[in-house]
Amino acid sequence: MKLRKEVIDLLAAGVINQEIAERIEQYYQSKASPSQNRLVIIFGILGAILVGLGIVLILTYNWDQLSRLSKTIVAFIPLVIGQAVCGYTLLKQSDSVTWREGSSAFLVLAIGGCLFLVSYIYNISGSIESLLLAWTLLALPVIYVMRSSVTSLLYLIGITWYACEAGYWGSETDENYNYWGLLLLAIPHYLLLCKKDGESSFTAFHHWFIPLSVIISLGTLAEESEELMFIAYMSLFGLLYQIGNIPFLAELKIRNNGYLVFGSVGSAVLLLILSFDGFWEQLRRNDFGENSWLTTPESIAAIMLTLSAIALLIKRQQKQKWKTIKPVDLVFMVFIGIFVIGMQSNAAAVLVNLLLLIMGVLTIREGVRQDHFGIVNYGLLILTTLIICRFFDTDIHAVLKGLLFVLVGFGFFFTNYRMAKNRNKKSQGPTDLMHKA
Amino acid sequence: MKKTILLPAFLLMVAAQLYIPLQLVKHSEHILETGKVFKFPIAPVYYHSPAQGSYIQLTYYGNTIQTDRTEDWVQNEQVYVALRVDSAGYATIDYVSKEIPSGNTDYVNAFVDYVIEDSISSLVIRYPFNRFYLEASMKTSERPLYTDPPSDPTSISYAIVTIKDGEAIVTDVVADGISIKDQPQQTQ
Repeated sequence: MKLRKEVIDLLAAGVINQEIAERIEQYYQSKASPSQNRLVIIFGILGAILVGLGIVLILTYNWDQLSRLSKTIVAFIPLVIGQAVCGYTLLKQSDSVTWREGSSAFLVLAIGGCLFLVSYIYNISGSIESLLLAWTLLALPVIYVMRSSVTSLLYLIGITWYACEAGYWGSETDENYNYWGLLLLAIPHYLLLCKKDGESSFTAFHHWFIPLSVIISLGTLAEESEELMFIAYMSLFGLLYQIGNIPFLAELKIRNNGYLVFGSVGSAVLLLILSFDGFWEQLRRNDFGENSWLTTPESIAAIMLTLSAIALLIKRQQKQKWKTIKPVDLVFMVFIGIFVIGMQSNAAAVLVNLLLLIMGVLTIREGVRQDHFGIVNYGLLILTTLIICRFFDTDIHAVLKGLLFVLVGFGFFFTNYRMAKNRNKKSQGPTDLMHKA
Repeated sequence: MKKTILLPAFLLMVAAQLYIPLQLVKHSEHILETGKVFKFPIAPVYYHSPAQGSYIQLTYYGNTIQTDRTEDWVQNEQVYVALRVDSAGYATIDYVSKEIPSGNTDYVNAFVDYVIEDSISSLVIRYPFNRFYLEASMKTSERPLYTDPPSDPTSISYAIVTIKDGEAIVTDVVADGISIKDQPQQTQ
């Protein structure tokens, strides 16, 4: 409405003619349609989920009075309805994203509902992980048959939950690598989505869900040599950072690039945790003399992730002739050196602090270079958090601590002020020139 | 994908989604119809969680058996527990084996919870059937855990478990001689 008024004003003032005014309106109308579609899809999915929950509640009314057979039949009703709606969608509405996503979301929840209700009706023994495995495997074909991205996202949540049950929470925890196979099965849909619909919201959600799922699940590999998981995690963050810099993803806005954010923030958080001496003290007490730790899942994961991150880094930098390499790119490799030093020496914590300091300063420099407030403040945040962390294990006088905080606060203010001022100067530059002319 | 591939794929998917839960139902019905019923002495603890509803956590008495060779057993490994019925009519461990017991021995699949290495070493067994879900009308308030079995044998709580080929389904819990289904409802 505001735009329409502006166009009318410009037309009345003679700045634009009738033809241009119509073209502007047409352009914005065509641009508005995807967001409206997005709303229809979102409400379609939410509607399907609410209808599903409503059906379950209605069917389970007077649940206690039902016989075992009746309860079992009730458990299957939402599943059959979901399948029927998906069948209708496939036959009559296959081009409608709203129908495909809504019916698929309903079906996926109905599968889980049916499995859990049957298990509940019969008090079937065993852990929740076998039910989750069955649920995710039965939901997997829905992704491909219905071409449903919501199902893919629900599937990613499901397999992450399964990995946690199998690897962290379950009492029957054992070596379990099923998660990695399940993750691979979802990747073809993700790649297809990136290729066909690279800028859609669904793709952006996948850019967040996939790295997050991997970050959560990597820890399930930890067994005897848990300390090595720190190398594995640091290399994972290095790898995610490299993936986030692949041209296709690097072109995206930062808020749509989960790889880059997780890679960078993950590295910083892990370094902050390791900037305390406690971990390194524990590491020095460990006996890594035998070679058997080389074959543990933790070291295999660490080696594979490090090599993958290095390979991506080399590939990316070869194309750009090593001109754009950022020191942050190398953090995961530097960390391995620090880890090796930390096995013998107490200098590791100091080196991690130094690394964080460099990382913070270089991030601020990068932010200033790009004229990006977010990156500058992220760098400042790294430095501030580092200082706060050091307050815990360093005996500094309270006045000095206060002064340091004042300095950091002043640093925040001054940097942002300078950047804002520079930006204003740049934006005023051409206008001044026009006035002078 | 073309519809010629998509439709058969869809039908296959639908069949699989119905087959797995139906198999679960069929298998459970088979255990209930053909299995043997045992009474396992328990300490019932009532729980309620928003996600899982109300349930009784079943902590089994008599889940320990002496062993001479603790080094043979590993925590969390799957084992087969051969059962017998004691003089009071409750299920008790006869022996624990890594192989399925032969003949007509009644057994149940379980796990080694942990191994106690002491002057008298023993194995502590963890049964996978350790929950009994309650229906809405059976909601009870949380009760404290009973750490010791009651001295009066008639007040022993027990789970009624149907067992077939190592698999088990808990069908009822009896506390103080009354089935949990007939227990008076308590306010939360």
